[in-house]
Amino acid sequence: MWTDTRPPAELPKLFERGADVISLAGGLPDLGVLPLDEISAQLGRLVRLGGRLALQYTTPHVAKSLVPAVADLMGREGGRADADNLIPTSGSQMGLTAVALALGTPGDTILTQTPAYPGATAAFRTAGLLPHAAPEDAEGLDPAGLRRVVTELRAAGRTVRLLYTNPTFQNPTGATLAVPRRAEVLAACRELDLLLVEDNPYGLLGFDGTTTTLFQALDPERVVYLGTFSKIFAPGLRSGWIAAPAHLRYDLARVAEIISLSPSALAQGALAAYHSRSGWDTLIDRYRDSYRERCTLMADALDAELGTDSPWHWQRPDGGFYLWLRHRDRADAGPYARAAADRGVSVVPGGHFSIDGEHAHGLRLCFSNVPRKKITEAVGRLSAALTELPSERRELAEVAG
Amino acid sequence: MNQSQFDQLVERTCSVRVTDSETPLVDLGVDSLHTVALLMAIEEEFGFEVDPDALADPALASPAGLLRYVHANTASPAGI
Ligand SMILES: Cc1ncc(COP(=O)(O)O)c(C=O)c1O
Repeated sequence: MWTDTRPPAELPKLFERGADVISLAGGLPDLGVLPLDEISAQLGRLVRLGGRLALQYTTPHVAKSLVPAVADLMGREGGRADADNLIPTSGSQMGLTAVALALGTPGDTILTQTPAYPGATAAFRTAGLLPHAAPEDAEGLDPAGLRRVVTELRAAGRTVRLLYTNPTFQNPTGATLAVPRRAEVLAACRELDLLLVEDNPYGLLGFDGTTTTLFQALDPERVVYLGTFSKIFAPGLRSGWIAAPAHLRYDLARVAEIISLSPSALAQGALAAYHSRSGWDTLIDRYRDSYRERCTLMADALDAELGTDSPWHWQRPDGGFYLWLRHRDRADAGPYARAAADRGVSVVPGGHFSIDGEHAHGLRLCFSNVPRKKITEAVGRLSAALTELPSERRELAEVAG
Repeated sequence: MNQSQFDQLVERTCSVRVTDSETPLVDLGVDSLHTVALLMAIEEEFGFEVDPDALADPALASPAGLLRYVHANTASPAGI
């Protein structure tokens, strides 16, 4: 099949849960913070008063009533949204697919910040694009490296027009690219005529409420912005948006319409109603509180269990869903993830976030959805697996095999 | 609630300017999903169940018409 890719563009099986397995794998939000009574009353009203509209097909626009809710969210990070630059999606996953199909041509190279969200590289590959790791230094995306790599790739005959980044509380590292760096990266993009794809599901989930100016705020004509309600409201509504430069709006809207025909008016109506009644502040604060608490519990437990001379290194994130461990000697994390699974805790090994295996020594731990009282137990099980010597594992494997 | 307060509710819920309370909602630029949002807001604000077909009557489909509808449904029985 045309969509078969090498390596296979599969998503890790993140959302499966076994009996006694504690999952630190899937990036699920903590929906315990949602005011379900209020949402249920509003959904009831929406269907009773407007069901024939909300359950009907609709045009590929962000509903006018939802535009203020999107503008409110983007404004918190300096971004701009209005009815004319928005295209509705069923979440950023669709946004990634739409961008790849509308703005790329099969065979094009897409520079991709790594380690990368596997759904992004899978979407790019499925659209026939070739992800290529974007150059980074200790500060993150490296503008000088970009100039060099793009020049080399083009000299080798490759077409490079897109740069993908998840710049704030990045999945899986939790890292945030500083604003001065963003400006330098954009300057390089202008010189090299690259479009920047900014994927930002976590930007408002800084534990202390700190936000970082969007790439889209710095150069709205160079940036295709992917927004989503999945992480600040709920992923089950499958609702998000693309904020596009004027000259790309039509192409993106056309492809979005081909992919999904119509956005969900029901989801858009529910989100608009929630925002106009309650605003976003309370809900976002509750999400932040939940994740701050869980992250602290997990990082403290890791400090206590692994100590300072462990070969596994990590940094405490300031927001988002994830903690990223890296093996000092670049040992493959796959066997450790399997050992952890044997001990009843699931994590995602770094190979999934790699383009070509380059982050195989990483492990992603997701704290956003694990019950508070299971965090210490989960980290205990994980640490036992991580401190097991790989040679012991091999012997075990030999005995078993 | 008087008309100007009600017009503000319309403006807030529907992101439009109400220049004249008798102007039909459509002509103020209120689209259909916005109209539903407005009916939802009215239910929450005034605590009665709005008839989904209320706006089928063109006489009600303006801010002034809607406020008359609200008053008709929330008026306390005389003398109490
Ligand atoms: C970086 C990143 N982009 C996109 C998505 C897709 O999210 P959704 O399609 O729910 O908006 C995710 C989900 O975890 C993600 O982490």
